[in-house]
This record gives sequence, C-alpha cells and structure tokens, in this order.
Amino acid sequence: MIQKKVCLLGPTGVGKTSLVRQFVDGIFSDKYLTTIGVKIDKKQVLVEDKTVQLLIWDIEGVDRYCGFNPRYLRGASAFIIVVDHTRSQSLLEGIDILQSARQEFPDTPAFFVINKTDLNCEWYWSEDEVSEYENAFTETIRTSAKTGDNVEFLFQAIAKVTL
Amino acid sequence: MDIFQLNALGITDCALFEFTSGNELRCLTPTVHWLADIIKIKENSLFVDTVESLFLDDFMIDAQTCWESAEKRQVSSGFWTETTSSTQLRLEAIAIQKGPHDRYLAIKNVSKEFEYRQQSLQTARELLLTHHAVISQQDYLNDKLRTVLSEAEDCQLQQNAIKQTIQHLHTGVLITDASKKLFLDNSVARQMLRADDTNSTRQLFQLLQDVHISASFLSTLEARKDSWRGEVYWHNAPGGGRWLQLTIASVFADDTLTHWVFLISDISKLQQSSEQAEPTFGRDSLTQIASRQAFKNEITRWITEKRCFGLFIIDVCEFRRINENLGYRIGDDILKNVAKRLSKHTSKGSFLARISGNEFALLMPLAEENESALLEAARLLKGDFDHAFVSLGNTKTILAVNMGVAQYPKHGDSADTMFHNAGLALQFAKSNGRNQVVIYRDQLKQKQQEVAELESALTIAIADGQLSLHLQPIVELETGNLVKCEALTRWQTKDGQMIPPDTFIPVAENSDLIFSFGDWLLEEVCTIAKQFQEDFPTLRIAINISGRQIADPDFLKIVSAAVKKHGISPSQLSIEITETIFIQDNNTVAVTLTELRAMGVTISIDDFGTGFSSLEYLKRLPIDELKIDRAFVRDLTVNADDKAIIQAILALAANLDLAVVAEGVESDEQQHFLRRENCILGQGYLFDKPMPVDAFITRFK
Repeated sequence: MIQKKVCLLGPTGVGKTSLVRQFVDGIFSDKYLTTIGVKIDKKQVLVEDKTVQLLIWDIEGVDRYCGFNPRYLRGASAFIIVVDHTRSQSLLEGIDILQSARQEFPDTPAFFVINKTDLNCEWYWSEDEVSEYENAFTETIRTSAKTGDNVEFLFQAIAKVTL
Repeated sequence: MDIFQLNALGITDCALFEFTSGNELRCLTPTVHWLADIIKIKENSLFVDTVESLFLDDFMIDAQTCWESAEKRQVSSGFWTETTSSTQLRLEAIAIQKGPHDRYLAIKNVSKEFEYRQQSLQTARELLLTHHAVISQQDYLNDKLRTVLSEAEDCQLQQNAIKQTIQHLHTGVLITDASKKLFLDNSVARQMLRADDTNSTRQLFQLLQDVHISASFLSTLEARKDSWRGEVYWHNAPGGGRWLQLTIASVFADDTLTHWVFLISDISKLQQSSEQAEPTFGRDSLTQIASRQAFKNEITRWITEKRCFGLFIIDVCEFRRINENLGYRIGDDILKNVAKRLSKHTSKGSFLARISGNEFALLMPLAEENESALLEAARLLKGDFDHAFVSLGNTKTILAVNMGVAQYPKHGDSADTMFHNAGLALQFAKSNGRNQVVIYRDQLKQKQQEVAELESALTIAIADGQLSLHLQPIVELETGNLVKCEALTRWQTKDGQMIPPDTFIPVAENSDLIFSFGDWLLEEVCTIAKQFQEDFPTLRIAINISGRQIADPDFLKIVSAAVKKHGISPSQLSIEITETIFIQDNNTVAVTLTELRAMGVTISIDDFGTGFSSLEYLKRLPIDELKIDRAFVRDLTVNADDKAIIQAILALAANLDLAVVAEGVESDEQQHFLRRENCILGQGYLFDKPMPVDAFITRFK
C-alpha cells in the first residue's frame, strides 16, 4: 500500500488535533487540550482506484513555548498550515511558520487550512490579502473540525496531490 | 547503579540499546514491558528486527548521523505519543555517541515529564488564546471603523451608526477628528480613562504621554497611513497601574487624514494570570531558578525594606539562532548552564530569575548608590560568559550578552518602574551591538524620543525626496584610473540641515525603515546605472545593503525587479555587506548571495576586519571582494599592528582569490605602502571625495 507522510503545523489552539480526530475517528470535542510533542495517526483514503495510507503527524503548536522544528517535516509528501479564522494573529503566525518550513522544504506541497468556519466571526482580512497569502500554497481549504465541513475533502485533496 | 536497577526501583523507565560495530542495535533491556509495542527484537540475539514506531523509525536517521559523528554528542527526538492497543505511551528517544565503540539509543518513558509539561502549558496557552481574542477583536474593529469612517459621505448618519454600534462593545473606543477633537467615544473607553463626556480626549492623550507614545509617533503613523497595536503599562492610571492593549489608527479619505481611532482593552487581569500561569511555585520549570513573577515580588519586597540595590537584565544575544541551529534540547541545556553560572552570585545575597525565554534578571544589594559598583558588578556578570558553554554531546557555544541596569532608589520607586527602566537601558545596549552594558539614566527617555522623532523625519525624508546619492570613485592605486564607484546617501532636510549617515542609518537599521530606505536606494542606483549606460557602460556602482535586507527572503525578487524595470545589467551593480551579516540567518543569506552572484551582481565585504570574522564564511559564501576598513588604513603609518593586519588581509585575499579595496586612503604614504603590499584598488580623499552624480559625470566623462 502506498504510504504518505503529512504534517499538520500551525500556531497553538487553531484546531490541528481536532481536524485529525474528526478525520480519523469522526469525533469532536469542544474542550481544548494542548498537544505536547508529536502524535502520528494513520488513515486510508481512496484516490481513484488507489488506496493511500496517510500518516498524519500532529505536531505541537508553535508559540513562545515551543519553536518550529523542521526535522519533523523530513520526508513529508505534504504539509498543512492550519490557522483559525476567528484569530487574526493566527494567520500571521501561520505565514511565519510557512516561511520557516519553506526554507528547508521549498518544494513540498503546502495546504492552507482556515479552520473553525462554524464560528460566527467575520473574516476581516480583505480578499486581496487572503489571496496574496493563498498564492504561497498549493491549495486553500476552509474547514470546520466541529461540523466536519471539508475535513474529508481536505485529506482527499492532499492524498491526490501526493500521488 | 546500572539501568536495570534504576528501572527496577522505578527511578527511570528506560529501554537501552547498543549500536554495534556491525551497525545493528542490540537491546540491553529486553524486559522493559512496553518495548514490544514500538520495536520487535529477535529473541535469540536481542538484535532489533523491526522498528514498529513510525516516529522512532524517522528518528533513526538523526540517530545514525549522531553515531557516525566524529565527536561525542547526543541527539533527542523530543516527546512523542505512541498509541498501543491498550494505552498511550509518552516517549523520548536519545541517540548517544560517546566514542567509536560506545554508541547507544535510549528510549525513555516520559509520562511524568509529559504530564507536567502539559499541565503547565495548558493554562499558559489558554491565556495566550484569550489574549489573541482581545487582539483579534481590536483588529476587527479597527478594520471596520476605518472602512466606515473613510467611506461614509453623510457625516451625521455615519456618526449615529457608529455610535449605536460601539456602545455595546467590551472594547473601549475613542474616535477623534484629524485635529484630535473628540468625534465619538463609548462608555467602556470613558470608564477605562476615568473620564466623563467633557474630558475623555484629554485623558486619552495623558495616557499616551504617560506610556511614551509621542506626537511624532502619531506623525509617523500618519505619514505611513498606518495603524499600531501594542501592550502598554499605564503606570499613572487613575486607580492604580494597569496593563492595556492599545490600537491607534489613522483614517484617510481620498488621501486626506480624517480621523484617529483609539481602541483600548484592559488586560491587567490577563497579564496577572499569565505571570502566575508561568511555571508554578515561582520557579522557572527549565532552570529551577525564580520566575518573572517571583522576581517582581522580590523587587517589591526589597523596595518595601528600602534596600539599596542594582537591577540587571541580562539578555542572551541571538538565542533563537542557537535553538534553530543546535536544537531546542541543547538550547534548553545552555539556558540551564547560564542559570547555573549566574547562580553563584546569589551566595552574596543577590536574587536571580529567568524572566523570559533568553532573559535573566538579577537583584544585587549595593552598599551605596554608586555607579562604579554597578559597572564592576556588570563586569563580573559578563565574565560568566567568557568561557564556552559545554552542553549535551560536548557542544561548545560562546554566548554574547547585553545588559540593561537600573539602580534603586535612584531610578524608580516601584517594581514596574525599575523593570521598565532597566528594560529601556537594555534596549539601548542591544542597539549598540553585542556584549554591551547600559545603565539607565533619564536622558535615555529623551534619546528614545529623539530616535522616534528621527524615525518619523526619515520616513518623511524618504517619501519627500530629501535623500540623494553621492558617488565616490574606487581607483587603481597604481594609475588612479576609475574602476568602480560607491554610492553614498546624503540627507539634507528641508531647512538645509545635513544629517550625517552615521546618525540616520543606524536608526533605519533598528527599525523597519531599513526596508523602505533600501528600496529607495536600489531605485536611485538603478536610475544612475541606466544614466551611465552610455558614458560608463562597464562601471559598477556599489551600494551598502544591511544584514536585515539580505536576510529578507524577498530581497532577491526586489533586486531582479529593479534591474528589469530600469533595463540595466546586473553587472553594473555591486553589493557591499558587513561581516555582521554572518550572524544573521545563514541559509537565507547564502542562498540570496549565491543567486545575486549568479545574476552578475558582485559581492563585497565592507569594513573587513572589524566585525564577526570567520574564515568559514569567506570560504563558503560567494564573495568577490574585501574592503579593508578605513580604521586600519588611517594609522598604518604609525601603528605596526594595523600594518600587520593589512598584510594579513591581503595575504588571505590572495589565497582565496578575492580582490581587495583599501578604504579611506588619504595620504601618499598610505598609498605607497598599499601598492608595495600589492593592494590593487583604493578609495579615499587622496583620489576624490564623494560627489553629486552630475559632478561625477563631468569629472570622469
């Protein structure tokens, strides 16, 4: 079976672990529990007639307590930068993380995930700003780990790109 | 006691493997009960058959590199979680290289450390998220208000609509017109400013003054059509000091300033909780010395007891780079060692704390108010960093530190003021370079103000065309023939005053102005290069580029775009950088310099011999030329050391096949010496002073 490593990166509290839990186990919890270190989950997805096993590396959020460690991205077929659309700061931090990742892995496909779309908060960046950032990514996908919106689609899209 | 006994006693829970000369891993602790979930071992030989854990399998690449290393070292995997059929294991793997036949892999069950880290970070991160929510709300409001204020045509309608909206917010909102007269405010703002409907603007500007936000800062925002957001401590707030999250935004309609928007949120409770949520019991969890909060409590105690003391804030320079280059484990190890070295001062009654990632603070009792005692103490503290820090795997690191110092009672009467003033002194120490000590004095506040004003004036100068370029020829020392020229910036203010580059370039470099200044410089030089295509088609123009610009990943794109826009050849450009660049982001710098050189731009090291000299970077990076600093040339006729340094630089350059330019050549004697030593190129008043572009053309056409 084809196996592909995918890394989830992003600032603290944007919902990286929730996305994995929703995708792998179909569950969601409102309670925030901070991730420490790395946890790897596996799930198979079917792309056309091929089965791909995604090895999803859920990596501790980057903040003042935990820096970005490029070593974890080694051998990844794609990485996902997750930001929270209710927190303006998370977009800028997400872009910083992308830049750090790009220094070491300039060609790895990168997905931009704007999470928590279920929350009723207006997105205040202009579409121009968002599209300026979007250009740096392979694809931008808006998700809700809570309702499951676009979560399956996200990992399907990633699996497709990695083939 | 060996690992079996330690495991048996429950002191450790660790699996140990030996990496054999046959490149196999042999398990030394086959009885560790959780091991089978991550590694399969051949029962007969105890050699590892397969690594089941995906994470560990990936880490084996780093482990292999460690074991193959010629030096003693250790590499950690960091924590990871392994889900087994029955439980979740929290693990950390460490590869150890102690000698050619002494290589190990340790896998530790770190559930206790994991739990401790998770508990301490859970609260800290929840508070961080709450703070982000405050910031997001301010950003959102700022954006909406600026849009509504700049677009609405009917002023009364606009005022009513905004008034209704802002009354129900939890954020303080105060909007003035362009002349800073009140346009609208809400009850939250009045409450925070302790104002009524007659004096809220006055109270607001008092707040700005108290937190050192000057009128020139607002002018800068206006010139940039920008907004600013930050945290401030309002020491003199009515009812006692408070932490505020503040946003200030200028609003424009059709290029005319129409309003100022001020957003205020009280984050005192959040700050207090954050400080308390930092590692518990007043101890810093990493170094086990006091935390920031405990330190502040201690200052307050010393102040209450009316003790005379010095407050030293010690900042370890470039620590982020250490973490990135050597890994966080080694970074943490170094911080622990820093704490250990500084701890020796506590035996003399001093109090030490780690107050942020790479900052330590020390309270030292003083017999009397005496500046020389402070300087002597600072010298001793700096002495703690003279020797390399040896950390895991025998990694040796030399650290530089900067220090800000304040003295009680002379420099403040509360913990916050003392902290603030020592912090301000540290800010100045940092702007002076590395290993600097600055003692607080009231003039620093004045200086800070002046720098802010200069920044503001420079912003306007760049936009208003007050800057111009002069060119100084670089010639063959033998013939005096023109070979190249260097572009130097001159700033003449509107009232005719000349501001020297030594004054304004550091201000630009210490702020983001360096980027707009760099853009201007590149644009001007490309314009001149275009002009030169007819009369001086092969003449290179050198420009000085700061380390921060070179480290900017977009710099290459900016140069390419400028070259393309002006239709010039990259071979008409030369970039001069200083040695300090090599303490910047090395990867980005190396890539950018290589790409620039591939385009045809040449690279010179300016002021060579005065900064961070390393043969390593000279060999590794694409450099064409060294410029010998004028300081060596100036005294070469009287100073044997300077002569020897010049000779050494010329020999080094000859070996590495680099060209050399001697700067600041002002006398025949200097010229003769340099020619004798086979220095080919020179620049200085002996040949020509920097001159305006037109004069340059006339002179050399």
